[in-house]
Amino acid sequence: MSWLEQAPGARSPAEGYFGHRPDLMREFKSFYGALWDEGLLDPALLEMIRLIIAQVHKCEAELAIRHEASGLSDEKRAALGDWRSSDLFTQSERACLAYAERIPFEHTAITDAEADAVKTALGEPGYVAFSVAASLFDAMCRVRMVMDFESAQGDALHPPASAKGVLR
Amino acid sequence: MSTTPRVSSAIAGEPAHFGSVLAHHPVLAERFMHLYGQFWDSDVLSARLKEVARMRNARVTECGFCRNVRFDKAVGQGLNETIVADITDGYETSDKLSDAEKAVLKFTDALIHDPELLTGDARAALTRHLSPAQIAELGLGITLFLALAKALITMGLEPEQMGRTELPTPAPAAAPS
Repeated sequence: MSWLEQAPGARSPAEGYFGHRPDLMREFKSFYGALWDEGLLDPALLEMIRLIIAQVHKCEAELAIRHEASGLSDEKRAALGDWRSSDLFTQSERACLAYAERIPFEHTAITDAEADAVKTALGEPGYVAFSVAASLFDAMCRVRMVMDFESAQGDALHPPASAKGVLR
Repeated sequence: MSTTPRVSSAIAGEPAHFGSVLAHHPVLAERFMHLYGQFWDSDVLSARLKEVARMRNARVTECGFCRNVRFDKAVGQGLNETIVADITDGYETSDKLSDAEKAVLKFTDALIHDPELLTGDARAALTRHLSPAQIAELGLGITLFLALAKALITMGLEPEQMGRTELPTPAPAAAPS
């Protein structure tokens, strides 16, 4: 249980926190949810990026969230813990995973070559969406840890955020 | 850290900056600008306390753009350069920062750097000075500051050189469609 009292009507720990400012939480869900709602990137790739960043943080609350409708297979999800030695991931996915792993603690050290590899994989607009998504996933893990959110799964079919859904 | 943009502007005639790069995704851009404006427009948490957290985030993430920008509303609330210098280094022993500001800085450090920094005493100080609504607004703001700074840095949108620049505080844009 978070050390801060929960906002009334909260459907998740994240809503229990941000729900103390319901109007801002609504706008945040709209922004964060756009990553998932608007199809800016392949949802399975987004899910992989989210999970690999949670893995770096060892953020159990983030890792407990499953977006099953993203299309990320159970096999790949399980292999993320040791993705470098797995043959399940494409070259493009490897470029994205390697880059995403550096966001939490090494963001200033990312090289032009690493950025070029992701741009080649996703195209320029894709690279922009990827950069915003990875940075937000990092920030959300940090919020969960500093606020002591409990692991809460909820409905596994839905994404972690959606303009009209629950903020998980 | 690259100061050469790794991505081009999506707005004809404009250089690559966060807004013009985010314009590759108009819906994302529109929703971010609206959210960021709403956040700064809210007075639940003062602009000065928000700016204290933003300045600390700029220092820890090494975001040169963030570090050099000052929003005018916070400056108007007395956040001068002497105080900003204490935010950068040695805030815990500062005699210029209030206890509420020090509690905000400790929470900021815990969120962006190490959650273990938010000890029982630090939590108690935060909840003594801020209401749950203010703590929620602060946490949302730090989330945005951190994500924005890392996105700026990784996309190579950091300025090569930049002096201190006072800007109008972001204002709410039209509601997103």
